[in-house]
Amino acid sequence: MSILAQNLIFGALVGGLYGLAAVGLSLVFGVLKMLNVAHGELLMLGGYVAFWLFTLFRIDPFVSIVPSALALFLVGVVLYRLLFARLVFASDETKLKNSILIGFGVSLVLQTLVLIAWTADERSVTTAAAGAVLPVGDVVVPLARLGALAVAFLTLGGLHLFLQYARLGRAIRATADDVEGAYLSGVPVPAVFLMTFGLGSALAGIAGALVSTTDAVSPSIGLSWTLKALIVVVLGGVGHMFGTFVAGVFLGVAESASGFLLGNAYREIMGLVLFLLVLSLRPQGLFARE
Amino acid sequence: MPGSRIPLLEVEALSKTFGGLRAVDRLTFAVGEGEIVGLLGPNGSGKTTTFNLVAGALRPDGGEIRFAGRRITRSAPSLRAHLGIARTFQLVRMFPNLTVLENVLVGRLYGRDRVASPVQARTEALALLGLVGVEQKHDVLAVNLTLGERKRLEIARALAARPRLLLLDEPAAGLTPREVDAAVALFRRIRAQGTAIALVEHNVRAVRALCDRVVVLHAGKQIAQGTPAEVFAHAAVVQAYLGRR
Repeated sequence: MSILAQNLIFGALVGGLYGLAAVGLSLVFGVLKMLNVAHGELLMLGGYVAFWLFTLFRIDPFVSIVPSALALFLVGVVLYRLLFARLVFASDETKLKNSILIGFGVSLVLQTLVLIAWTADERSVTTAAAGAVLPVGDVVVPLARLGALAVAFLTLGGLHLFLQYARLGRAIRATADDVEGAYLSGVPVPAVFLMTFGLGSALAGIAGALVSTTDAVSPSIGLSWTLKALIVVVLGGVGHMFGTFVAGVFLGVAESASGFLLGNAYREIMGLVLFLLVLSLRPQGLFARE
Repeated sequence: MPGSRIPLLEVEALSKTFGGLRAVDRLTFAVGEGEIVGLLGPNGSGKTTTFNLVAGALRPDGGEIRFAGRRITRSAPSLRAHLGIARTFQLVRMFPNLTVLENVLVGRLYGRDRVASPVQARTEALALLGLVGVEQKHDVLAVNLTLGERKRLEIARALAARPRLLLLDEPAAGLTPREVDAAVALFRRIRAQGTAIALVEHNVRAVRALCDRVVVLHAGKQIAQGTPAEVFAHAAVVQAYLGRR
């Protein structure tokens, strides 16, 4: 019983990061109607930022969240300007299809660049506190993962407050609701798109730095994060931030439960099964109100 | 504004074609400071397209648009909003997942003469909601308003941008006669504060009560203009517009 509980706790902790990764993807999709399938590669870059800052300067990855977010914000802004911005005035369907194609291209280029620059080696960060655990009854809670979950949750809280009350946050929500109406009301929509893409990328940067606290970083980790994020966005429904976070935790728990009960080979399959079930039975997401 | 004789909005030989159909055909008209001008014409005569061209939702194929003497023919819609053009839509548009207050705040924070202080923006937004009479619902999501309330919210949102020119697309459509009278009174008050209005409207009573001047369109061309009384006496207008019944 305690092994199951241990697995579920582990799954919930990992799931918080799924949620954070998904919120960045969902924000960009909700506002720009573009699907950035290179989101996982941006997360991978964030992991490398944390790894190098630790290796070169002994900076704790929890501190590297800030530089990683800033670096990925800039990467996002450049990618948007160079590649995605040209889709802005296309129809929603063209935008979606072409953004996926561009995203695949970007993900291949980023993987290859990282491979050339830093090799295919798995890089991990081992801080002094890396192995610390908090015993709770029969089970233990790894502190690094608990910290990562807490930071993910705080990040989402901050994002929520920003979107709810900041001037730019309101403009982002207005743009998500009605692009043309926002533009005609004076909202500089091209600038809002640019900032939103940067913000989504910065969220991937934060998620990447958090991932590096517990998992190895390598050039190929991106695709699996993009897939997890996509599954979580579908489970949670677009535009429901806390729903997305809860869906992330749910996916993490479902994965470890199926890994434990059915065997490890079924971990990944469970996510895809949930994805298909929700798509066919409740395409608006588990937590959508309508 | 006495003293300035440049019209606020000048539209010159404006044209827009949709796949061979000339929706707006070398149209020329002007709106003066503080003036209320009605655009009349049967469905498909190019009134809403003209609004879209002036507000910047569409780019014209030919001609020129000047606002307060400045060429804006190809400017971004957000720039036109900053200069002082605001509009409402025939099929009411708003930000459904924002609260009523936030809908107005967006206009106040991003329109002309924007305020930096969020507290002041909120106060002014609430005052505008009071002007149109939906302030009790300021915390409700806009999607939950009735049609009449949505129309009034849309006007408050447009006014929040402190427009010098307000484009109203069928503001009286779907309203009861009582509501039409209230809307007419509201538009007079808005004009009294110095805002010019261009409106597309089928409600003859509202047009007669409000407009200083009327421009009649048919197939994208201007076929008549003058005071409401002159225009409604005009044979071509009666034939093109009212004669269908």
